[in-house]
Amino acid sequence: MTMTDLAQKVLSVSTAYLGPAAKMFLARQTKYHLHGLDYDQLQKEHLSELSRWIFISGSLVIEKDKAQELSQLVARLA
Amino acid sequence: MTKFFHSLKTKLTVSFILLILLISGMAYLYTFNQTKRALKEQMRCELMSVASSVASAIDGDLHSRIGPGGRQGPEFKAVADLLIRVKKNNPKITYLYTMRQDGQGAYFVVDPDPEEPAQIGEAYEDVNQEMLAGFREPSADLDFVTDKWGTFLSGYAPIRDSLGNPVGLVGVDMDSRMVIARQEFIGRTIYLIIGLAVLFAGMIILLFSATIIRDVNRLNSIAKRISLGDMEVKMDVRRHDEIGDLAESFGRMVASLKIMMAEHQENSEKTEQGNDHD
Repeated sequence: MTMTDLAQKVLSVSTAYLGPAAKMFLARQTKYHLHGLDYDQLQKEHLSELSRWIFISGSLVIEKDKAQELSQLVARLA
Repeated sequence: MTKFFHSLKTKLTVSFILLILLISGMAYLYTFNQTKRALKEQMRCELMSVASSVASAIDGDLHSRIGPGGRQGPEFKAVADLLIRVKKNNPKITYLYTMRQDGQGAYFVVDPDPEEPAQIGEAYEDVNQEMLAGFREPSADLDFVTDKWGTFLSGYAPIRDSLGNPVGLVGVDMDSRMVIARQEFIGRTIYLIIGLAVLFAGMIILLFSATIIRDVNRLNSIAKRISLGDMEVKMDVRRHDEIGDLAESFGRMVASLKIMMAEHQENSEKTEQGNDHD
């Protein structure tokens, strides 16, 4: 199954902050916080919630301000 | 001590300071030589100018009448008084005198020096091209000339009679020590300015390299902690240069490691739970 354009864009933005494990991170967020959504099927309506969880979970692996920056960038892709 | 010599901070600071010293040393040599040359040229012009104005104030016809044994005559006295007055008003002048040409030689006519005056008709033994040229037009020595009276830079200008014919010259000597003292003063000033500039540049370089090394050391310390399994490191290097880029790459690497380790841990726990159920 191919990735949606939006999923590709979010991955691209996230890789700059999270490195090669960005896909793994995003897939975990959609799986656990977006009702088991397959990340590859990401749509616009998921972005707001995903952005929120990127900030919350992202703060655990990168600096808080960086996590917020990434969260805002993802939210703006909507 | 060995660590100090091998540290990046020492290498950076020393190489920058050496570079600055090299550049400023070359600039010093060039500037000093140019200034010395310009100063000597300015002195030559001053000497020619004084010689010309004194020569124009001397009556050439009167000067021509001064002969051997004429030291007490009114002509000698008139010229000598003028020379004494000019010398008094120009403290830079060491000797002021007049001469006449004799073929390729020259001899003194009026030398009002109170201590060791040359006699009328006394031949000058160190005649050079500039002095001979001074019988026709204003000229000055190209370099210092040493004779029995000392080492001087001299200027010359012709004395002309009422018909405009050259009948002698006025010589103006400036002691070389005065010229050298002025050159040395300028040299010391340039040296001081360059010294201060090197000191200031050195301080800036030290500060600059200290901030770079501080952040490199921080990254080094973070890398050490990660290599020992500590993933709770804080990436507190904020720069907008290559070191900042390195810190960002480092941050990405740490984030990826954390995510992968969390995933790995979760999978391990699941596997263990599955095994327990079995």
